[in-house]
Amino acid sequence: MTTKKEFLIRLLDETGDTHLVAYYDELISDRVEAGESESDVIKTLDIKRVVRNSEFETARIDLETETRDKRGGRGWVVLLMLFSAPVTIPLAFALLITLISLFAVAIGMVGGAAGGLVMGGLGIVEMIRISEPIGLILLSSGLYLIGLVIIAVLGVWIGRLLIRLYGWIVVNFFRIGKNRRNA
Amino acid sequence: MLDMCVLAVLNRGDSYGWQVIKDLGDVMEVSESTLYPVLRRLEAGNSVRTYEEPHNGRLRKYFHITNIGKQRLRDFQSEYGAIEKIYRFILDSIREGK
Repeated sequence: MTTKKEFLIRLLDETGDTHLVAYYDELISDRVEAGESESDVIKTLDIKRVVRNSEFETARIDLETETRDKRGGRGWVVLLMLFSAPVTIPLAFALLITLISLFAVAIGMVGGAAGGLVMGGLGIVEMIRISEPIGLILLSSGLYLIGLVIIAVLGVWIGRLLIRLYGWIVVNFFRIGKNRRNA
Repeated sequence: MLDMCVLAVLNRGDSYGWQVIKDLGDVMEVSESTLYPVLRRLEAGNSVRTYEEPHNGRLRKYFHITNIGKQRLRDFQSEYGAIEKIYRFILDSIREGK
């Protein structure tokens, strides 16, 4: 004959659910208080069914909670997007304009180099075949354009170098400072 | 449906496990192992909240219906017309069938 204590211990062993054990502890006590004998109450409780129902419901609640959390997460993202729109939309627009400008500069550099080469070549041909002063003007204009392109390329290269230098300074100096503070 | 029945019991006043089973006994037979998952589900969905009170030298867990639970009951009430229509359709089909 199983006692209430034995029943509850077995229930805890099989489910690990303390809420379930507390529920049956209270329920058995209430039925005994109402006049039934403890052994009669235990006899009516099918422990296999209790365990099966508990496992099924625990899995269901976990799944529902997970789904609700995911939905909640998406909701926060939407809210964040809505509230940050006054800042993010102009920022995105500025980024787009910057990208277009960079693209235009790159095309300008290629065009300038090509134009410089063509003008320089024409200047040399002009000097030899027709008129020396006009040829010189064309050659110098071509060299000027090529010079501008070289300066622009150097500017980009120096810019990248400065960005790397900035990154290096941040990583080496600020992190060292942070580590020292943490230590 | 069982969730609604339990909420309906709690809507009359706070109650505890065994009392809920007894109150439901008038309309349906509910076992302890059936009620526990329902109560857990309602608690997880914030339709009920629990509190404990001393009773005969032990603590008894009481269930209290929340505003969410009351709203669920009102939603059920508004859906009743549709449910009744489905029942009538099925009953008519049984009556008219050979």
